[in-house]
Amino acid sequence: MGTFRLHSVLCIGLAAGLAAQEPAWKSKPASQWSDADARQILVASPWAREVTATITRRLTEDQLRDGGQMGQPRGVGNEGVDPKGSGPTVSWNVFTGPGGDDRSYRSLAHPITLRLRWETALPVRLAALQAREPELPVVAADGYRIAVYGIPGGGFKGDPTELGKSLKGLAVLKRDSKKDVKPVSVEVFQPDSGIVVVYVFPLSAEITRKDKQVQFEAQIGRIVVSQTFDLAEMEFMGKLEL
Amino acid sequence: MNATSRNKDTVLDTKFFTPEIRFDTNYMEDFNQPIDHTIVGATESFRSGEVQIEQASVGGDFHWQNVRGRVLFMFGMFATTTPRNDASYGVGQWDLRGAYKYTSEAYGGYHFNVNHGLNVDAGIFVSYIGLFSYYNFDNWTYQPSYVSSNTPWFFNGVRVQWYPTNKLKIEPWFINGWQSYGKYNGHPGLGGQLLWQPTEWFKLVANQYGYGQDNLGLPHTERIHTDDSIEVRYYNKPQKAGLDKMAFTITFDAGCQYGGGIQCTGAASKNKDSFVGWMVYHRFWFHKDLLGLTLGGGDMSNFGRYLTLLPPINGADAVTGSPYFTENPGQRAHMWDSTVTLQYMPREYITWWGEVGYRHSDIPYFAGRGGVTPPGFPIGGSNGAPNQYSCMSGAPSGATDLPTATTNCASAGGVWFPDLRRSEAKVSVGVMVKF
Repeated sequence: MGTFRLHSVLCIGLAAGLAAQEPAWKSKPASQWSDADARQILVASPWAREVTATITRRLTEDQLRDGGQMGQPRGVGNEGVDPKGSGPTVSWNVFTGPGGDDRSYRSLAHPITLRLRWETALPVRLAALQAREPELPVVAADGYRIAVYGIPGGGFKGDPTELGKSLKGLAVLKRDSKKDVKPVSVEVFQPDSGIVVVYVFPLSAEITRKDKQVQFEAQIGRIVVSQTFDLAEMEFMGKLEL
Repeated sequence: MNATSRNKDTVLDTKFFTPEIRFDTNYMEDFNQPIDHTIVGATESFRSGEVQIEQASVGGDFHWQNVRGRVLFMFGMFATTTPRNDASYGVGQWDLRGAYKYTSEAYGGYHFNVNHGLNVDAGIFVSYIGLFSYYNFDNWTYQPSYVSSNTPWFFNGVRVQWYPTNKLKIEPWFINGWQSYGKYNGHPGLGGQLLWQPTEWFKLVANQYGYGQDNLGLPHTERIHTDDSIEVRYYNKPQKAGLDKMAFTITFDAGCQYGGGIQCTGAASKNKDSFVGWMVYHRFWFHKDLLGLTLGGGDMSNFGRYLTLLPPINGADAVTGSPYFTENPGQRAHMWDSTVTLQYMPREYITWWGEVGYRHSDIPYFAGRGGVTPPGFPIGGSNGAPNQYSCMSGAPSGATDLPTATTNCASAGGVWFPDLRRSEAKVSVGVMVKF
């Protein structure tokens, strides 16, 4: 009898422990989410991922000219992405040196951490309400909205649609055996917390569970970001939420 | 890649202007030991036994939104040695050589956001006919072969650069002529470049030229030319301590002149003007690109000598010509050369280099010990009449034909002849800087 009681206690404890480890969007209704739960959904959940993107190397003027350009490209993802002091240093010692390794930090590709979020997913919208996060004033039509947070720089002149125009052709959603989906609009917002780029992909793409995975790829100036989302994980209350 | 600056970053730049500064100094020792220190037959090698500034350039790119402009001024030997090969200034008035001698590039234009870019530029811009860059810092060797050295370094006119993809450039030209500040005759020069770089390690450059009537005093003779190169980097282990990279280039050129009694094919005696040439270079990089070793050379056969650089005998240039080295239809010049070049590149903005080269000609062409300067003119280097035979006294003979000159110089010690040889061996060292 004593053994049975002990087992029962252990089972209940284990179940409670497992329930406690289950993320909030699976274990609790939205009305019971704490602020911490909401923050987790907004930052680290199937709909929100911290990703390591790449800042591609800065081209030289010769390379730019050979490619038909002059001057460093400007705009979001180009200006403000190199840390101060990352340019070349000129040494007085011109007799010895590292040869081909004599190059500045900004002339090499380097990583940057960004956050991607499916803004239109219901759990994200509910969590944003809970966390009292100000909503981005996106004007574009309905669609799957993916936001990229954490892009360096700021103070760009132009409205969000104008700033996003040049990024529109440089993003795509990819699925196996299906045609790539291009965004119908891209808008760039500059809240105090940093630059946010919002991509709107058309609902006509009809992303379903059967697609299993969807890969988001975008180039924002010199920043290249790519992230795969597992659609099986992106269910909320038994429904795929994107 | 060859003809491309290896700089990885720009030291200074602003939203509106990116400066460019180049210094190129050399010391060359011609084993023919010309007494007048004059090296003949190249657009990169000019003086023997002297330290010379080949190029000192300042300038840069101006860019504001889609408006663009570039200027690169040019001082040093290039400021006189490049203009002297252009005879177009002999047409009409105003001093074109004086106007452009200190300018290697100067153009303004507009960038249209079409496909991957469309530029329209007008002014004087560099030509990549012959693969190598006009600026030695960008090249694998200092002295390129004839196919490069004897073909244009610049064009004056209008170009359109269209990038339908990020791997392809189509660049038509409407220019005054074949490396000419002005237009020789009635036709402008038309041509273009197709540049295709499908991968990082392969490049195809195809330049085509035609329609131009590029001979002073030959208004009905047109020139056509094709210049095609590939560059292949077939080995790349950038982090390897020893041999880290290998690449090669192959260039083939062909062209001719026709019309006005001149023809592209047939016997030399029937005023044949044609050009066939090639050059091949192989480059090795060592110790993470600290050292570069290039072996290569080429060959050219030029009937009519219309692309053979005129030796500066008694100060001769493309306008004056020289009775000592005529460039008449059907006259052949066949030459070959080879070089071994070692470049030491401790920093991205400096190259120390050394080169040994050998050049050969089937006709007397290179300066020998006696040089190409008439006696009695240690200062100035010319008696002022390069189009005439000179007498041994140094005075002009007053004649462009040898029998008359012989008669006229009888009382002046006879006719002087430059010391032209069939070969030239040369050792060179130098330093080049580019910011």
